Amino acid sequence: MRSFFAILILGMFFTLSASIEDDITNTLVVNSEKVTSILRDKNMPIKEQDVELIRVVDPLFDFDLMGRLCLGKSIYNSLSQEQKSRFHDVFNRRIKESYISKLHLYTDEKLEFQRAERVKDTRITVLSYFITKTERKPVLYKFYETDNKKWLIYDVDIFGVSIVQTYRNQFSAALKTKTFEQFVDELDLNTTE
Amino acid sequence: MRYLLLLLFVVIFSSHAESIDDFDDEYVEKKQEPFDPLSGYNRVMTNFNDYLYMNILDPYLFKGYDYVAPKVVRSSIQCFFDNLKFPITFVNNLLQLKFKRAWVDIERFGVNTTIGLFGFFDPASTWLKLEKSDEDFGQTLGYYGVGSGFPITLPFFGQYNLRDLVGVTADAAADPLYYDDYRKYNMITNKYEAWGIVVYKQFNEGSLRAKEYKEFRKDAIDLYPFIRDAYEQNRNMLIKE
Repeated sequence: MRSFFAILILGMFFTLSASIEDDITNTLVVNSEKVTSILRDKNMPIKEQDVELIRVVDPLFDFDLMGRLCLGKSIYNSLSQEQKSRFHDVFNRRIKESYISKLHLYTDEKLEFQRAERVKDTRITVLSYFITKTERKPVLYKFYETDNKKWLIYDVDIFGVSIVQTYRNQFSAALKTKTFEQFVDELDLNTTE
Repeated sequence: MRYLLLLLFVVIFSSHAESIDDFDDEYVEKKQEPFDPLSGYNRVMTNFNDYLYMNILDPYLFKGYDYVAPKVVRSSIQCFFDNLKFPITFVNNLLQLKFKRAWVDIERFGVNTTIGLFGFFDPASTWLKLEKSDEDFGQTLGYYGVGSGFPITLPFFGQYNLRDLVGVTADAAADPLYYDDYRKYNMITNKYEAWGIVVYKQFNEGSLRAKEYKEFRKDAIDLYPFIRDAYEQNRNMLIKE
């Protein structure tokens, strides 16, 4: 009985860890098919498309973590609870809008996914290519494993440009001349534009 | 046995508990500003280019051009120019000792010039899966460890840095669409034609990227540093490739 349990547990552990890379690539492939079918549905008004797109994309990302990383450890830790929640509110809205409207750019392009690669114990990246008539552009999705064993995206490198790194540079520059409240107000203003 | 199981669980679960610090190491902490002696000029030039794009090129010139030459045609023109970049990519692949890719360049050029009708089509990519490589002398310099120097924004042509600008000048020697009095064989007859081609090439490419540019500039809080950072990150990726 004991050995049966041991084997069962070990077996579960190995099958899980062996196929996780494939699972992640699969998730991306399936969801990108959903995204393209929404984008190509000409009968659906853009506003409705956006709602549907967010429904597909939202569960894949950890937007709260992205926001934290964009601010950086030292700034984030210095914020009050209220400031944090307001920032996440504004940032999440902004990043979702920005991501969704970028999806609208690439309706005719082909997408090609490579196999996922485990960079670290808790990090997996998936390289994909946007293939246009004239170019082949890399998009790298970066996943991490959450405490409750889910794999979520915390950053995307679009043509080598990391979303988090770029925001991070911009935020730290903005916060040199502005108070945190002014900064979040401006971020909010930009979103509602 | 109970303890063993408990231990197993502890090991499994604790190995995944990690702090936010692990992520912070993946990103550059920007304590000091990058070396940017021309930042004042660059900023003005970026705004000039952006104004040109948003107020003249995009609403008028690109629109008119799209009417004469729809996207399919413009992509084909882009393919034609890309095909003529063959000597540049080939030489730079050799310089970076990427012999396999240099060979692919030869195959691509052969296929696209003949079956692809002088390069207006790209059957090498679509049918034969021969991947196009994007190499220039700026990347070759980067490959051998030359730093980017400092950012320079050019009117009409956009963001560069010192290293890549030196690269562009060097690449001209291998460019069939460049004119040089001292060169034995020139495909074109004079300097003015050469400049005309350069400007047209840029215009055609710009028209293909208009939507993208309009979309990405929305992410900027401050346009110049945003473009400068994105440019450097993109070039670093190309150098590593």
